Amino acid sequence: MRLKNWHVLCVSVLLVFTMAVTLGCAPEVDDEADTDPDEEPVDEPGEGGTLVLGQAEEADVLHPHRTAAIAANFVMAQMGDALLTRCPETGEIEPHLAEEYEVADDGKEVTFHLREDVTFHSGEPLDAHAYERTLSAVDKEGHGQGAARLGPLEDIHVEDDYTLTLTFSEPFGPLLLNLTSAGYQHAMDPTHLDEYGHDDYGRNPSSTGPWQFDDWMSGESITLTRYEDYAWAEYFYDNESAAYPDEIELRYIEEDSTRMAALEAGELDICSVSLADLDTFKDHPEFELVEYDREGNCSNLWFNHDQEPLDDVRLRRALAYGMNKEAIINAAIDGHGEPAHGILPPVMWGYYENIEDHAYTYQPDKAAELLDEAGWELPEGEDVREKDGETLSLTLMVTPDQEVMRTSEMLQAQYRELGVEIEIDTYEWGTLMEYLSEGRHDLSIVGYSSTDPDWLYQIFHSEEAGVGLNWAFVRDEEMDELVEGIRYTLDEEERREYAEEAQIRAIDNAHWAPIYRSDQYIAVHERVEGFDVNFRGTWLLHDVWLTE
Amino acid sequence: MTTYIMKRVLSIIPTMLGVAVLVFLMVHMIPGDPARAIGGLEADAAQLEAIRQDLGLHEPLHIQFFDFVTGALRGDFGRSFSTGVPVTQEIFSRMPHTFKLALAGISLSVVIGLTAGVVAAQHHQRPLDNIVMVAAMFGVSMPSFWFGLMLIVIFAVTLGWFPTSGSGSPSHLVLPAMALGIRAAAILARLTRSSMLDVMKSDFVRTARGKGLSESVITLKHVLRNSLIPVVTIVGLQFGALLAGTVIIEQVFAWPGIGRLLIRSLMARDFPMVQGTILYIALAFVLVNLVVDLFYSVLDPRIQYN
Repeated sequence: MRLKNWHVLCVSVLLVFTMAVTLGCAPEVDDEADTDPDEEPVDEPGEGGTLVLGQAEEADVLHPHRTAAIAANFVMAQMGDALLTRCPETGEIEPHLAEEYEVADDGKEVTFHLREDVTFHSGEPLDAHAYERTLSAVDKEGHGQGAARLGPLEDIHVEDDYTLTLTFSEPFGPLLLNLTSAGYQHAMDPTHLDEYGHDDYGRNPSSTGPWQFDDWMSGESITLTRYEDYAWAEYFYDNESAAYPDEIELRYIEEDSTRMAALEAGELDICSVSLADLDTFKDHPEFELVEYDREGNCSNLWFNHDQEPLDDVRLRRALAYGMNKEAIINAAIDGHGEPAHGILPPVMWGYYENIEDHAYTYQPDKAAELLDEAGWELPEGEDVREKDGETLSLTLMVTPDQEVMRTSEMLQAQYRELGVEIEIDTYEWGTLMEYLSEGRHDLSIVGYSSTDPDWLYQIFHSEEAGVGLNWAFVRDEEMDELVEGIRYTLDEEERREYAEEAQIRAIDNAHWAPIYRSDQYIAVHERVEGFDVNFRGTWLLHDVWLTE
Repeated sequence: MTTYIMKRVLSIIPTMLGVAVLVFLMVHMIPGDPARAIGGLEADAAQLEAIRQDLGLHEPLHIQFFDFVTGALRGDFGRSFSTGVPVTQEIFSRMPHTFKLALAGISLSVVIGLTAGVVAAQHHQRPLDNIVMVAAMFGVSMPSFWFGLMLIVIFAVTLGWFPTSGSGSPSHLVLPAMALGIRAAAILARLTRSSMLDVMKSDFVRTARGKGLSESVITLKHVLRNSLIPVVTIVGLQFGALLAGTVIIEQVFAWPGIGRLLIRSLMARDFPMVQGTILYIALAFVLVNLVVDLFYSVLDPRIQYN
């Protein structure tokens, strides 16, 4: 896949430029230049057929303000459009349904000028009033991601039929990026809201995207049919009109082995591949593997700063130095990944490219020194360190997931050599989340993916401790200022500076010890043409057609 | 008989009330926050509180229980926390799938189990008997999860005879029904065999032989029918167990039944859905047991309920 290792290229402005020239932000990306003359010529896209997508998690509710489920966002993104979009290669924000937008100098007002040719699946035109109705539901209905992503929204004002102004009590840093989400920020069809109300809209949604909702077999599948009038595809697609296949069927199969069996049996056209099944599909004649970078770390060690002795930065640093990430990657994911150095991933906007200079490398001697310095000494003939009669024993709370368990056991062994005893306790995810927010743990291993450095606010702001996601219980005034800067600044350069400083500070103080990012793969059946992913692995489906 | 049925039906009420109390308490006692499950990782404290208010989780426990019981009495379990769909509607859309699967599983196990049991009894202590009993031992001890996956790999992926998962057509039913029924079939085969061997030794069978009846008439009419009482008990119990036991099979085969709904709802801390699902499963279990008890008197007129 040509987007592989994109982040490596990202570090050099020159290379980024070269890539922008070769790949461009335009839809014409490939084929002509690298077509093998011996290969059969690629046919014109053909219409018809059902594109079957395999997914592990079923969507919960297709209402943008009532869900935070990635699975629901995925379906809504096929059914909806966003005001803005992102360049598939660079992530740059570009106009979509809003042809133009202006941000006021104080950053508290953003005005959008909408395209005038867009209609809902019901045939109703999309105008500023329809958007106002969707957005004003945030107050009453808002507890999903659609609402969360609008931040301190204060007022929605319709200037004229196609002009809309959003007013915020404070400038909201992630706003424009959040408005690129075709799922969480799609406009709800007013006729459907009238007919079904908010309670039942989630099972009877209608919006403006290339696919319209058709049927939901609870526990099994969701079917979407092509919206014939669609003519406002995002600028980077070749296909400017309605989608090619007749239908999309999203099939929900939780069990990994079954999902992979369904893929291998040819029942699915496109499906993410778990690392355990990679070998089956790697050289499979019927599948192409597409690789992408995840916008997040799959594995991080969270230190609970509220628990002694982890309140001592020397101890946290010692544990970071004592972690052999390569060995963990080999054991947990058979080497299919790379060490994570910083809190944020390289593909995310705002990633600090020199974070590796601050990162901890595997230096057991240095770790031992730091432990000695902190007063945790190894008594003669013992293998666990002690201080004032107490042994250095920490509880690691994790889910019983195989990858996490292997990582935990490797850490347990590595820390044992340092004289630190780790007790591994496993809990089901819902339970673990509660225990982590209550701060019952010393250590935990949790992965994430996110879209914006605003993530740092959620995991490190002191007000999020005990109630939000600050499961590390970081209480650092300077960090608070930095992450507030990220959240409440719109100016890109200023924001980037805040983000970089926060990343450095988090590593220097060892708030977390990032462990690894694993490789991500999608298997695509040979009957599917035109499939691609963007820089962060979002599926781009509008050019897809089926050869059979 | 009518008095007996009335008594049995009335006894369902305290049973279900007990189940309701237990389910409510268990669901509310397990750790895990439904608001976090709905709001997701990125929801902040204010949003979580708004969700709790919305779901009525801020009310004291006894008020929540009162609402639950009064609702349940009207057959209204509220709306799912996560999908917003009314619980009863969701359960009624899933229940037929589970029922279909359990029925297919039990039919398969009765056919296979009875046949194998009869054959084994007829060939008592001969090679065929041994083969059947070894196979039955295998069937009982195999984890259904593993067996299900093996069926998928062999019959769906390698041979391509059946779909791997999902519902929709009769061919979708074959593999999950096999995976579900195999254990019950093995149990039934062993039970039928031993029950038949017992009956074969009784006086009336010797009399029948003495009358000059053919072996097949003796086996089917005299021996099998009289061996069926314990078998029916087990079929009934197994059917109830299958209704609940489809949980694992449904998960393996992505079958859209009530078991999978239960797992998903538990993971999402979807209280109303968990409560509703468990109550319906319990009710189905109680009703099946009642039907089995009544069926005894049909099989054996000597059994009467007064």
